[in-house]
Amino acid sequence: MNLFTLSLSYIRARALNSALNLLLLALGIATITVLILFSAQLESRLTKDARGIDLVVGAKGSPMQLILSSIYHVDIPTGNIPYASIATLRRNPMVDGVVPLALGDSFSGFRMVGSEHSYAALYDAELADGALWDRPFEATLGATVAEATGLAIGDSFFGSHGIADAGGPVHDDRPYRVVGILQPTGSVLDRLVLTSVESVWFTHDAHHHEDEHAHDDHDHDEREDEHAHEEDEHAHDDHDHDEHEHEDEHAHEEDEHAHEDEEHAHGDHKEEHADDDHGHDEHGHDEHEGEEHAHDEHEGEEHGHDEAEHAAGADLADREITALLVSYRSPIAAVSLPRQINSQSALQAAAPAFETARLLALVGVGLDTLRGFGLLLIFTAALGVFIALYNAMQQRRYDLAVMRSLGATPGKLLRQVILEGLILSLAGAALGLALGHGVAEILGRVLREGRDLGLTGLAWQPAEWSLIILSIFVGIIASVIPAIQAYRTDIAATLSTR
Amino acid sequence: MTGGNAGAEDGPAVALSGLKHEIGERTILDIADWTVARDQHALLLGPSGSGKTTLIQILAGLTTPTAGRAAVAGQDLAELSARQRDRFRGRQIGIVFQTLHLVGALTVAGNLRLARYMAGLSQDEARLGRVLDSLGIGDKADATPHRLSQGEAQRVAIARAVINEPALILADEPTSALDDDNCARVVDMLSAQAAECGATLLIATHDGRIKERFENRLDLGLELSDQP
Repeated sequence: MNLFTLSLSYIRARALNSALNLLLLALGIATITVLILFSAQLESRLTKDARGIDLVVGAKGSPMQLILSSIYHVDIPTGNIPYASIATLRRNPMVDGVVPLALGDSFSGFRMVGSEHSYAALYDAELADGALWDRPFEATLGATVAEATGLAIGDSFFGSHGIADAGGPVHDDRPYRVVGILQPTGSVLDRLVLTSVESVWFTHDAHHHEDEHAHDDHDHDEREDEHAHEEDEHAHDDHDHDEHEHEDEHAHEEDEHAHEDEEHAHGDHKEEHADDDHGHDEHGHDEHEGEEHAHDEHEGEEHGHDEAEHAAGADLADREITALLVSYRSPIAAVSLPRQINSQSALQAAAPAFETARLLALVGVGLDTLRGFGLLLIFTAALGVFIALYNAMQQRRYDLAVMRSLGATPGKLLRQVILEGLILSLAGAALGLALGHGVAEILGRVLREGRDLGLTGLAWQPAEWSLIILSIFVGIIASVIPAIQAYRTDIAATLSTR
Repeated sequence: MTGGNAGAEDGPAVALSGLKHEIGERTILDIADWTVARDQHALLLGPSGSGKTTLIQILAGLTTPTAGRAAVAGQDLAELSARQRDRFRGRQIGIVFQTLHLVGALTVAGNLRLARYMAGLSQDEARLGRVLDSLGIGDKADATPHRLSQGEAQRVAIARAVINEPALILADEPTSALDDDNCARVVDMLSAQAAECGATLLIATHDGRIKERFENRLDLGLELSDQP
């Protein structure tokens, strides 16, 4: 027997009431615990993901959207910017590093990012297996992606157009091959599929090309019609022929290499026309058919390869990327570089630190509301404990008198009542913290957003100590008045009344 | 553990002289001189309202008389500080209340342990078992008070009064609600328990049935005959 077991006996004696108050307090503590864990982990994650990135350059639009889409990979990109922006920025003496990002595709709900190896280096990523992407259509998977999809090195997959969860149409013309898997970094990288910028370009070229195929086919038909037409017309008039040639050139613009011969043939053709209106019809027609044949073959097989060469070729200037992650050479760049970029019509520069702070402030309003709700629960619990103890003192005044008659000092009775309040509040705090961590862990495992954030209940935040201190306060505040009642119990008067 | 009387000074179990207690204008008690020797069990007689309970509270150190001297086991209670009086009460005085006042949140054994704990004595489970056995309620140690019969509850109250081996056992109207058989049995029980721990028994009662069993009687009803 000591004050603790005595207090426990009294708590047990009104078990239901004690349990209700304890639960109320636990719910309040749990609510705030989840908020503390969530906001701390969100903030640390946001900071970690943006580490080493001083500025994001992308298309005009909402700066927060730019940050969200290109650092945290949660929103849709603002648009595309010319590839040439990389070179421009790299030439800027204030800029230390530029990491290009080409976004727009996803695989199985995970975003695909076309970038350079420097992107993985931003997060100190290390390979768990295999290698980083090198050639087009090679992909290196983030740890979470590999775990979730079960893909291993050597496996291939198709990306889908769009970054929505469901994914858009599948780019089924050219599979990606997994060449490497990264170790977990605890950053956004874990949930990304990394590949080269070229891969994203080609995927989309192929995509567009499919449309163009249809278009081309149409052209071909038209052309054939025209040819058929020509056959008649040639005989009468040269005039149309120029037009035809012109169209032809247009239609084959993309496949210049393959079409060169053909064009020459046309060129010849034309000359022939010019020279001689007679007997060319058959010739032209045959050639044309032959040309079509070659064209089909070309489309069927050599497409990718062809384009790879194509991309490596001259017209990088026409290429686009989604965003650039920029690091400054010196902090002074923060003053002038964003303004310098924003003054250009096509580009927008957004600072992650600023936008992240803004985001947290926005989220903070919601968190504060919930925190207020949690505090309300705690206050209610405190009131509950107070009322319970206060009523208990009324019912217990004979007990208190008996204890005095058994030799207890008033101080001992005071301590006993306060201890009773403290036991309730600390048990509530312990239960609440356990509950809060459990809920956070479950949210982190079950909810997609929780997984994305890497939310875990298996972490302790220093702020949680304040909850324990708060609970101690609650216990003392709720029990101090009943305790003083106990202290002042007039035993003689109490024992005289029956 | 050398017994409950270890801390008591020599002297009679109870010594009152010139004791007066007044509440407002009303005189509750006026006792010129009364002594109860050790082991000489005594009776405090008088109808209700005659001040028996007040005297018990004075002897327990719960109430301070307005005048006169009250000594228990040679210790003048007025000489003790409040804290010392609490300690003295816990160790030297066992009280059996008329309405037993068992602590409902605790078991029978818990009530007995409470007495030792509040008196600052170490727990003695062997003695606890012996006391309960000697009162015939050894099997009730883990029962809660509200499951006990009135008779069993009274035995627990007696056990709680004697567990600390006090010098003086004060019993307030222990027989008022009992039939003749039980009345005699309770007085026997109290006497036996008092004898066992070397305590002096003082019973306050208006019950004429037990009058003959005690030689030393203080009749408050007679002495304060002028009171209404």
